[in-house]
Amino acid sequence: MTKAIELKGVTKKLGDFHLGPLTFSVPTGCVVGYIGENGAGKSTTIKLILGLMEADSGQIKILDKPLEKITAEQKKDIAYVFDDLFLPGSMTVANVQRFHGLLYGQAWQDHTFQKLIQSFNLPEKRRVKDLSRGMKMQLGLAVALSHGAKLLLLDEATSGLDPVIRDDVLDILLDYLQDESHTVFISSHILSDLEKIADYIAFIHKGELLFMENKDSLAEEYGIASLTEDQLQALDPGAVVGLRKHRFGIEALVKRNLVPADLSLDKASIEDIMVFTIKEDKNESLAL
Amino acid sequence: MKALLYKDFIALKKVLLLMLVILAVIAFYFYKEDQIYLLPLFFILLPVIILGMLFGADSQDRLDHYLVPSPVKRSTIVLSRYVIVWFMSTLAVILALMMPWLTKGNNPLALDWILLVPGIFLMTSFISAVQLPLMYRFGETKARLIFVGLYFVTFAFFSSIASNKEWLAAKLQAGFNLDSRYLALILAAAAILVNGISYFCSRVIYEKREF
Repeated sequence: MTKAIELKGVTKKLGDFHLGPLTFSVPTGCVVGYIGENGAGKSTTIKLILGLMEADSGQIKILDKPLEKITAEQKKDIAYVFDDLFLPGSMTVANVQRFHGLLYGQAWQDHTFQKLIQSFNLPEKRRVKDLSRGMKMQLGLAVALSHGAKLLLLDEATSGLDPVIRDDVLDILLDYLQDESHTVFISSHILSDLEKIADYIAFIHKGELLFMENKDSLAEEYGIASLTEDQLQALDPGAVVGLRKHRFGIEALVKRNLVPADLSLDKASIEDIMVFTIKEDKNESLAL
Repeated sequence: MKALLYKDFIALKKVLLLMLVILAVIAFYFYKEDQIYLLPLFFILLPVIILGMLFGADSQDRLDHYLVPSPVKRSTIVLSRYVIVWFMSTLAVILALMMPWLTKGNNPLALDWILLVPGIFLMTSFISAVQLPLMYRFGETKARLIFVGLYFVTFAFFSSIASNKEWLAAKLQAGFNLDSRYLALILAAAAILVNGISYFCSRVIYEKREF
């Protein structure tokens, strides 16, 4: 299986914050959801992948090519959508189309762009600065999908969007993924979206990658147990990932293979795994 | 490059139209006052104003975040700014070359075309050439502050050499006595050197910049 993104021992120091060493790879044709709390290092990772920052050490490969050797022409295979549309506010939607036509040359697909902006009902004469947050996001996505890119990176692109637009965006991403050579790497706080589309979940916490696993195997690996204090004491300490104490007992995120088979477990969502892990690390297994 | 220039044109379309109107008004005034020969000097400040606006707009839109991962080299992004300056300088040179026709021979600043071309090009690109690396290194706002400081340093420099008027006059006289071809060559070399060093510095700064 080819790799759309490959990071080997990548590190970056920004003031007091240390990212990495990060080692993971994104298989071609997959959607990887990149999750973590604010300041965990998600955006920094994406900036490193896009060449907006330079790693202190390690190696990054994009579409099987070392990042530093990727030519301007090869960059056309990489598309990106940020949490804001970083384009001049005075540009109209039609100007955006012309600008990208000049930027991407023959790779630019006017018909795809037109089709997308029509499906989003984006007025061609509307200026970027007059577009709503959702419209900007849709325009960014329309641009990203109109130059035949093989890899799409989204950095918190769906945050702040209403559920209807988010659903449209997910549909378009699923459509994009019909081509098996297409890959999506998406960082998001909206974990329910990732539950819908992601094949793999990569979880970063305080600059360290805690895991990158198949989404379905996460459900098989983790479970939520409602426990009494005695039941908790009886468990293997290594089985407990995180705790939440409340007046009716204790909720614990546990590793299924390390707890007794007769212990009743609920399915753990991605959000459960993230919240329990972070709270446990912060020693915030609060009594509620 | 075309995309970048198109983006700059869209960003400053209204401002450029306004500049054109101002230029036409100034040209008309100078023409009426028989001072049209001063018009090319207006282009000393014009690129500085336009560059300030472009850097301001790009910084507000965080455009570099968008452009750097796109299929355009960082060196091309930097070069596009110099192209604007050189375009303005070329316009100033063309205007200066038109002066004998516009002034009908009444031009106290009349020079051989061989001196006019490199001289005007150097004059109109010099401030921008100093300013651009500062803008790439420190950003638009800080660069302007540094530039104010540079004005004071320049002022102090000229004040100090004013005390050696005889020496300065002798040097200037020597310059004017030079064969105009040599002087033109010196001016052309200076223009190429100043702009070349400036572009090299801006490029190195921008290549290393993180966003």
